[in-house]
Amino acid sequence: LRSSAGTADRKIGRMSDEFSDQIVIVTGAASGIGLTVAAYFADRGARIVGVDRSEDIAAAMAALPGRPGESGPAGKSGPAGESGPSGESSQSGESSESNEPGVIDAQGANSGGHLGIIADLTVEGAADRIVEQVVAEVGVPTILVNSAGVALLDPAVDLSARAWI
Amino acid sequence: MTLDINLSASFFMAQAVGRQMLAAGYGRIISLASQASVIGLADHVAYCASKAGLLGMTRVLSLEWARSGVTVNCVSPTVVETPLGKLAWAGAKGDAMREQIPVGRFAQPEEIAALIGYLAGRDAAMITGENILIDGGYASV
Repeated sequence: LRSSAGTADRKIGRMSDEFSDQIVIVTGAASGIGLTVAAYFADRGARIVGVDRSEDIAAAMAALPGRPGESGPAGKSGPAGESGPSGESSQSGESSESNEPGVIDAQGANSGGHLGIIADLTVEGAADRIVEQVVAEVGVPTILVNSAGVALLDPAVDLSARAWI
Repeated sequence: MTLDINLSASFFMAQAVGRQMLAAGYGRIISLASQASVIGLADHVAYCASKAGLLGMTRVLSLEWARSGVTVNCVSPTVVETPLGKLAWAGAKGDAMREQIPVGRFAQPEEIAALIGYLAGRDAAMITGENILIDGGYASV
């Protein structure tokens, strides 16, 4: 395995072009492991599409190392799924945010060509809409990292149906 | 909510992305499972079930898509020291867990990213349908 990129290294700039021809979709990319994975690929030249229920995904993608000389995908908004839970979290997770979820293009912030998509992946058809949008605006994804997840802890005898499903 | 997010959402993303990758003849799909995919952890019944489910999904996708240049794998960390991980495993609970991990510490997010980076590279074309533990030996003892 290659050695990992530390935070300090990341601020210096891109580390290599190893993934420069790759489009990487990372779910749960606004925080935690997903964010670190997004940074790893961005450090190595990939174009990142981050998906998260959190609006923080826009800023997270904007802060990634960019691809010099390239403009990002065309900025526009459109439905990808309702705002809701998708990040690793121990919250019970019903979102009280907008019912008009959309797509935020982080390109304007860093010209890095990365895209942030706010979406609730539990909504039927959300994945299809996300991928359709990625293909139209960025290109055919070559790497998918499923990082979104939740951990709701309870003894088995107490776990609610809602938490299970 | 646990199965919806951890398992079903991962499948539907893989399915939607997989259609594109199959047409292109190349792809890498990596799902975050957990050491909980192969062992039982108290109070984690839905979590363990969802992560074990990812392994079954991964095996079938790898089988169906292998000839089209698409590999499908899982990585399974022990506790990872993300901000949330540190919070969830603070104090005596975390100390007890750490003590049971042969290497004596939790994983760093960058270590997980490096493993995923390897699986996502062209050098890993021969690895598919796998679940790779990155748990400091926890599930092996």
